[in-house]
Amino acid sequence: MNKETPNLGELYQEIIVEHSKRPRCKGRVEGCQFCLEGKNPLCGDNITLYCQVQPVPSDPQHPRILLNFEGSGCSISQASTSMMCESVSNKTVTEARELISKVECIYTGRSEIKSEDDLEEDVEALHGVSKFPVRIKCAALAWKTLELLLNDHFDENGLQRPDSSACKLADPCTSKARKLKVITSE
Amino acid sequence: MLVVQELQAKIADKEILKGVNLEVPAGEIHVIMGPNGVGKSTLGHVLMGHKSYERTAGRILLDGTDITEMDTAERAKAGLFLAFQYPVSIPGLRVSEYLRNLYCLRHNVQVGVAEFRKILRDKLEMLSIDRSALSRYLNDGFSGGEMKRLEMLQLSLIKPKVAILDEIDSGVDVDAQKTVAEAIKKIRESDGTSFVIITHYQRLLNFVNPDKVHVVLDGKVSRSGDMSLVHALEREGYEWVRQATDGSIANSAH
Repeated sequence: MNKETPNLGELYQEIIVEHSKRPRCKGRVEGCQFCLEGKNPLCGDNITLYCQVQPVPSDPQHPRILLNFEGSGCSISQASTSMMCESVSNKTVTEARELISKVECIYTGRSEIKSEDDLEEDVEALHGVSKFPVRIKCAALAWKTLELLLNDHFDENGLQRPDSSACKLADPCTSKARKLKVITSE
Repeated sequence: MLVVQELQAKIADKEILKGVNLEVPAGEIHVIMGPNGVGKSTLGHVLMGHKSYERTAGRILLDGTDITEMDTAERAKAGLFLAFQYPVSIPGLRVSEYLRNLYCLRHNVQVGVAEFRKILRDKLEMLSIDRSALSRYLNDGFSGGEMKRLEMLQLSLIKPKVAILDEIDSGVDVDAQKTVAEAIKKIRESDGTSFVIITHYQRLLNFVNPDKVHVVLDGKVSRSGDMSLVHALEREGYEWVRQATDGSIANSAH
């Protein structure tokens, strides 16, 4: 019997609603190392990521990321950001980049989730978004913003760029002018 | 440990409980039997603090704490649990959401959806509940067996100190009865939960091996014993207990 498809849809919905009701890692971080604002001007989704890196004594080359966010907008955009902050935290820059591309495949629908009527991680719920092309940008906002932030401050080997400048507290988001290019459909 | 002392209660001027005494130590399974209408379900409801019943005398202690004056929600938080004889259906409330909130409230934690499903996984297996039940509405269109197994699932998530099961085995097929009995034993083993099982049937009791059996007649515990009392009841009927307690026959359970 294949009853899985409708169940999965409801499951995804439950996860997204739960994350938007009770967002993880939400809150402004004063004095964080890096931050970046991301916006979908057309629909009004708006997030600011606060990123810190913490060195690990046993592995000094690969510090771990701590991510927090602030923002407002639709449930999908906020839930997606909440899931991202939760799942990226304690990962290295390289691992975070791998996750970004993995999740991009999930929310664009390029990779199929093994339909076992259950899931391993919350981010898999973003697969439900792929059925609604106009909402893909809402899910993508967080991940694209993080990708930009990481590219700004870390090189391709995950090492911090020597010229990367820390977040300015007085005006935390100097890059407001930068528009995010978010793929809505392929 | 649940202690009930001289509990009396009435509903609309009709006296139903006339001084119930009961002591259920931690991890023990006690059974309450008796003919229809003697106040077995009422006892369950009064223990849980049902508003329709007026308690006129007596005390209820849970692990030494007097819960007599608490309302139902407080009693539940203190660790008392009642599985309904007739579970209520709530269309619009999804089982998964309901269970997750229940779990978070009782254990004072915040659990995400994916994480919670991992907690659920082996409990669903233990009670052989299909995972598709999670996306249905609470008890909406559930069969008798499904409802009772869902009650047991709630019980295993809440991990109460004392669980009162009101006719958990009525309207349920043999296989489901066995599943329920296995679950009772497992939960007692792992969480040290005490059980008060209200039932009419011997079959469930053969599966669970209760520590004590109480026969309720006319709003009172009129006889207590072990499994042999159940077998005697099966042969002789309740009239025999009534006569025995009237003093005419001072027989043992045999």
